Amino acid sequence: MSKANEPPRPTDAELEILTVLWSLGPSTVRDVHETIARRKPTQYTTVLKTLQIMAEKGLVKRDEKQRAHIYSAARPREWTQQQLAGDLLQRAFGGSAASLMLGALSAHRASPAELAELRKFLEEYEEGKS
Amino acid sequence: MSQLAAWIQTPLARALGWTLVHFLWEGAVLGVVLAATLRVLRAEPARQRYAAACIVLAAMPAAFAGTLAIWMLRPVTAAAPLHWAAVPLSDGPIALPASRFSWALIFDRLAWLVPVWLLGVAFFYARGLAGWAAVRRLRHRGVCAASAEWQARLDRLAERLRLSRPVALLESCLTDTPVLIGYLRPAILLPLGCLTGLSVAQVECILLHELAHVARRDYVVNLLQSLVEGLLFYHPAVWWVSRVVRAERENCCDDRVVELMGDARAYAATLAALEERRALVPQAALAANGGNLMKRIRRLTMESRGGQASVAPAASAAVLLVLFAAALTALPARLPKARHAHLPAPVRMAMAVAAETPRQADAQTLPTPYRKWLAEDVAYIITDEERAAFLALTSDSERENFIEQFWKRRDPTPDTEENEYREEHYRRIAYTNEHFAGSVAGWKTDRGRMYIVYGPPDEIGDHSTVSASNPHPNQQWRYRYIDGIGTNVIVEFVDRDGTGDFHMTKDPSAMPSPYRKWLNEDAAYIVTPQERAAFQSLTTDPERAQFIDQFWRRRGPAAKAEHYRRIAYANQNFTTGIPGWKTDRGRIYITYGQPDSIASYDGRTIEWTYRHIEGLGNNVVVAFTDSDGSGEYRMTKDPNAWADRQLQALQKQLEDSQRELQEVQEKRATAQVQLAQKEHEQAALEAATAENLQRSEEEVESRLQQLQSTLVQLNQQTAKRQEEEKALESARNSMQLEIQALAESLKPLQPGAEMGVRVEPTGPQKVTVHVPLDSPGDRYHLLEEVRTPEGKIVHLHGADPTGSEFSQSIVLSAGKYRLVVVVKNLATGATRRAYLDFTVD
Repeated sequence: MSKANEPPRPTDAELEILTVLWSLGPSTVRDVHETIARRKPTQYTTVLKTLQIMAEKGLVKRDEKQRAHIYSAARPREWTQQQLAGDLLQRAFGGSAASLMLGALSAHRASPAELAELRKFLEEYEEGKS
Repeated sequence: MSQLAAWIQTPLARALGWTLVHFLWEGAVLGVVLAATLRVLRAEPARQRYAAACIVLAAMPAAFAGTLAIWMLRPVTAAAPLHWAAVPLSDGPIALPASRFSWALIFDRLAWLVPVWLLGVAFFYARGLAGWAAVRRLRHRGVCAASAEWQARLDRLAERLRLSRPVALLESCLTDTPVLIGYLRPAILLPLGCLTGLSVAQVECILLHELAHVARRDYVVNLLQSLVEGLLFYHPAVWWVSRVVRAERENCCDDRVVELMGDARAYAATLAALEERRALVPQAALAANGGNLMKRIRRLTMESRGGQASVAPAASAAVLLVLFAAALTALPARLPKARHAHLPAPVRMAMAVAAETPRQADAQTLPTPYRKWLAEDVAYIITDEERAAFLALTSDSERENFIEQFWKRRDPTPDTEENEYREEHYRRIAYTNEHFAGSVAGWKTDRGRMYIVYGPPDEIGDHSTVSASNPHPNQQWRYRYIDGIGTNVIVEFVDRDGTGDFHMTKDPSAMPSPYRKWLNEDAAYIVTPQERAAFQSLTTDPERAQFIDQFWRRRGPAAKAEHYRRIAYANQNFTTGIPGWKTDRGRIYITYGQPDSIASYDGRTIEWTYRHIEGLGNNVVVAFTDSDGSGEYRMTKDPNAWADRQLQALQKQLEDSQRELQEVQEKRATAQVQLAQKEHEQAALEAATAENLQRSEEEVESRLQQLQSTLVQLNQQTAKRQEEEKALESARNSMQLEIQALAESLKPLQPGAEMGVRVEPTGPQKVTVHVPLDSPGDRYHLLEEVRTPEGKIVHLHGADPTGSEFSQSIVLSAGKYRLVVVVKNLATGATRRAYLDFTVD
């Protein structure tokens, strides 16, 4: 697949809609609007318009078979995440940002060795439970 | 660069430099203390270890600030002014052994650490700020609110932890791990798919962990922690302590979760599952650099394997102990010696020759030219101190040097070859000798003295003519201003004896000497022009005494004592060729008191800094320069001028900010107009869109109805067409029959006789027609016509006959007739046609 066929990087507003679509799965405009409106006041027509633009850009797919159109993300979340990982700000200041957030996991990912150890622990735990 | 070099010599920079060095061992000690404390608390709950680490982390900036404060205060209280004794008038610096100042030399290098450290702090803070902005962005970018169901679950959990602040639950596509963001409006960000990928109990564990952070106000502690890290970034112990705080913080939250949920192993499994999930998501930038998750899981599941945790602190402690030892060995050697390093060079020289005492000498022992110089040339202008110093000199070369310095000190333009002051002085002497000479030399007369000391008067009132009202020739000299005496000074000279010797009758400084001294020396710098004029207008001593008493009382209880202390201090420390109180430093010291800090750059310039001077502002810096090495420091930077500049700068700033404010207001106004337009457009667009939607729905509806009615019409038309087709079909059939019949009729007629057709007359005007049928049993169709010659047709029969013969009676009028018979065998389809002509009688 050539680069030209790939959808462009989503804008912030588009990324928000993509997030909703990844979270809810294929949805109608009404569903997307309701989810977004829970967080901040948004017009239905704005969401509709943005989705139409996104469909043109190839960011979302539109299923027109039913009376209400069903939208779904064109690319899986992982693909877009990798696309966004190139974000300069994210890359340059991800480290210092990480130290400003509090999380259940440390900012650093586990090494493969640790992952193996974790897997072993999980298996042992499952066995112990059953 | 030179500015920077100058800056690192200031007291603040020096204090910072020493603080940076001292914090090396202070930080190390604190680190070792924490390492030891952690060993003791190894078996205690994480809460206690966290508290210990937090206290140590807070103690670090405190130690830094304390050290800085000590070093800031030190130079003013202990060091500088005591060493500023009189500077010798000898020429040439005195060489000092280099080794004495080696520590000072090292420190001069160390001072360069300060800008490097400042750069580092700026870097870490800028980085932190950018990170903070990135985190803020994360809260709004690529997130969606979790379902109401989950938000309700989170609220219930928050209630269990007795949280008063609402916590938002968001799903984010930009984090790969659950994180907590924000303090005032906290939000938990979960990676997408986390809610669906884990069990409800597992997600609740994670949410509890994050809520525990909120309840413990960890977000604020973490921010402060980042500030400390940035400030003391150069010390490894700071980073280590900070890491301990972070690790123990997570442990504390883990403990809280287990406390509430009960099952530690299940919680550990949740954490492990979470990390597993994270590994599934690709991410380019972050290096895998050993988290502490396994340690936490072991801790949670009580599988602690001893000894693993002690390696890092031990290594750190070792490094810091080495640093500490180095710092300690450096310390004692440095302290006493380095302190003189920042004193100006003349002071160092003065200290070096402090043991030498000046040798007294008598004016009479002076060689003639020098005696004349002292007693005649400069008799009126040399100060008592200078006179004493001159008399103390022993060799002619020293005296020559002194005279040169004497004039140089008074030279208004020391850089040029000419000495305008000296030339003017000798001109005045010459003038007096020329104009005022009488029985004594001109320079010795009262007018001469006045002229030499104060110069030509601004106005002379000459009353040489003797009259009744004016018994003696007299002159009145008027000076507009004389420094130290006042404005509009009038001096009167009278020639009482008529000898031409005018004597001063009204000395401008006629007030008794102690009061004059009080006005012109004691209070010279602090008396206001109004007070001076008022004092000068007094005539009696009791009035003057009362005035002085009130003068001090106006200035507060301790003012007088403090003022005389300052004068004494100035005379003691600043006296060079001229008395200390008259020097620039003396004036500043007497007027404004002890400076808050004193700095010297190159030995020639001294800077006094006042934190605050009433009427001049904060951080007033006064600079004094000893431009000719004579030890007399002249003010090069006037605080008043500085204040003017400061005022101008402030006014400019004010104007600028007013302009900016105006611009901002204009911008805001235009933005509001734009916003209103945008909103209007938006509303119009929405209305249009909604209208469009409705209209198109209506259109579809009506179209549908149209289509349906069309369909009904079409159906009706189809039915009609079918009927028509049926009618057409039957019409065609009948037409075919007709065509057939027509075709039949076209067949030639046979004579009826041949067919056996007979017509029998059976009565008057009555005949019977007989038509034989070929094969009896078949069905026939019979058509008969009886035609008259006129063409009239009489139908004989309509029915279908059977049998062997068909016969019928017909009633006819008389005439000739033709009988036409068509017989069709319906079985075979064969048709016979015949005719028979007959006549009825």
